Amino acid sequence: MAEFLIYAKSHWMDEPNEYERQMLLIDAKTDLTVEQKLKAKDVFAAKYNARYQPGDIVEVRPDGYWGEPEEKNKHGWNHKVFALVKVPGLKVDTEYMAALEDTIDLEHPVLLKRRKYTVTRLELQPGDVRTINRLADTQIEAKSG
Amino acid sequence: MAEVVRYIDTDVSGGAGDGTSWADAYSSMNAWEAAEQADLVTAGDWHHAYCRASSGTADTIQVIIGDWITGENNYLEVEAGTDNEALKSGWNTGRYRLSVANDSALGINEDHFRIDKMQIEVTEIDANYESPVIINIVSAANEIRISNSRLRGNNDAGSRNRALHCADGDLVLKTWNTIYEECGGAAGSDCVYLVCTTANFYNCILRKATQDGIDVDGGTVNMYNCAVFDTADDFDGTNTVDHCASDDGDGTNPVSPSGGDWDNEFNDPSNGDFTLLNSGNLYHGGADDPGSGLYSKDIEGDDYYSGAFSIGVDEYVAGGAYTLDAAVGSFTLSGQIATLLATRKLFGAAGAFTLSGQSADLLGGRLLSAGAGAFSLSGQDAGLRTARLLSGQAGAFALSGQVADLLSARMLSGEAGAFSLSGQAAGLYRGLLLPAGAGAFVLTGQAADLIYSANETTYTLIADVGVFALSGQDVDLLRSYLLEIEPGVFVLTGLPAMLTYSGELQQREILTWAAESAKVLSFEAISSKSISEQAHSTKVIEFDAE
Repeated sequence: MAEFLIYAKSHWMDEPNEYERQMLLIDAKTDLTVEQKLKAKDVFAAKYNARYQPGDIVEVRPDGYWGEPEEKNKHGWNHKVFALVKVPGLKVDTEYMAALEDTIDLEHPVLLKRRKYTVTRLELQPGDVRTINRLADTQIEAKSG
Repeated sequence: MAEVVRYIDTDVSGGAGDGTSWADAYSSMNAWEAAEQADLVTAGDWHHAYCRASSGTADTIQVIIGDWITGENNYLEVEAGTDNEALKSGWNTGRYRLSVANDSALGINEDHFRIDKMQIEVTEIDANYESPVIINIVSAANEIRISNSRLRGNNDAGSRNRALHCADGDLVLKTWNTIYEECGGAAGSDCVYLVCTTANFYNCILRKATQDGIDVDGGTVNMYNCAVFDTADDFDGTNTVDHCASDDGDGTNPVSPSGGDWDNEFNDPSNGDFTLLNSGNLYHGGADDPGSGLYSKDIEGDDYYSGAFSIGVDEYVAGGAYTLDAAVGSFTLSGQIATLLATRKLFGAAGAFTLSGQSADLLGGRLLSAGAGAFSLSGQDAGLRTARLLSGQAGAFALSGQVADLLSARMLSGEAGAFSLSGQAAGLYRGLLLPAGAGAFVLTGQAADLIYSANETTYTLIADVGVFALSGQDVDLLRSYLLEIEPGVFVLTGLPAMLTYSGELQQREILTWAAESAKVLSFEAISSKSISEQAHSTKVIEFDAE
């Protein structure tokens, strides 16, 4: 069995008008040149586009890795941020934790998405624990850049 | 300005997993980073994450630092917790380390991020530029700090590898007391590769790269008090190199390793032990305070020498203590002229005391007690003197090297352990009582002497089921009046081996026994059972119990 730690809350960048607010804050900086402001906006835009989204697979671990606070032989997990999905029979593969990157130039990798794979259909809330019998009960989708 | 503190423990047991305490720690840096992302500038905070591995489990998941808003005073810092700090003496798998396979371990996409006291490595590489730390993108206003850490690359020849890689021309980097090492991969592997605006390296070590120690393809890079070696080219494109030690002798105020050998500067550099020796050229060989107050202590928190910092990550500090108590641990002194003086008590229940190097001394110790441990002194001029009691119940005392002395020991008791002196001119003098219950006394090497153990005060060498053995050239066991062996063995080997003046051997008398080459000069024994000639230069006398 594999256990998936799923990002389950709304990202802080998704607060109403947050993207625009950050851009205005950059514009308001008096110690940056126009060129430097453009770079700062590009950096923030890249981070914004790559941010975690609900359903993103943050980690995958073997069966029994995560547990409730009182389970001393397991590891705690943040119920206010994550959900836990257990999938019996699924092999642990680090590929589930891969980021989506533009690696055309390996010396200058560009992060496109924090996670390549996201879990859909389950409508998870922070703190949820789901055990699904088949991978087909959910859907793990690969994002595009 | 509020400090937000969070905790990461790869071996956390249960807990809330929200990082608010060690008990509720996150189990990986990755989980911490994903959960805690925030706009620190708007919040007016700075964020401080401590890392540990309470049972030694590595953190194996890649971490990308991004999706925060940080500022000059609202920075993000990851720091190894107490007893999990990176060490000058080598990579430590009992402590926290970020150890990622086939990907970069830590990617930085944030403007104000600091790394302190951390071990970060890539354990396997399957593509170029998979690095312990890779700085992907930063804004124009940024400052990345890396201090007191070890960044270990990978020597897999299949891919190009760097301990630190950055290709963003806006980078501003400050790094000190950090070791960038083991980048012996494919051609083009450097300890550090930089495109930046400004990068300042202070008291760092860059060791082992297939290509460059540091390869600068853009920006201003300044290096002070650094040691760079075991590379094809130590400095490539670096702007300022001042008071740095290297194989190439580059820069202003260059420093070369003493005798052209880095073993004369560090304890064991080829195995990652960069403990500074105080007899080389790096010792107090650097510029004074090159960071203008940025740091004043070395990787382990010792003050750098005021006036001239030493080069590398370590400042040599002499020390001493009255009590060293390592219940299950070990005490280690190494290097040249390692001294442990006037120690009243050294107690290692299941631990070990080790002194190695040249002129290693352990003097005046009143009590050296190793329950199941070992005392070991090695190197040239290794001395263990005037110890009143050396008790190694199941442990061992070992002195090796040239001129190894164990003097004036009133009692050497190794119940099931062993006392061992080896090397040239190894001497064990004036021991009043040498009982080895089931253990052994062993002297080996040239001119190994066990003498005067009878002339005034030494009367007894007792080996119940143990062994007294001297081997090598010119080995002597002299003037022992009583050699009491139950079913034990005295063995002298070498050329010429002599056992002389054994005036009394209770009911098992030896007056004179000597061997020169294969010839027995004189021998008398009443109750000795057998004399066996094992080789031309070896004689063994065995005794039965009564």
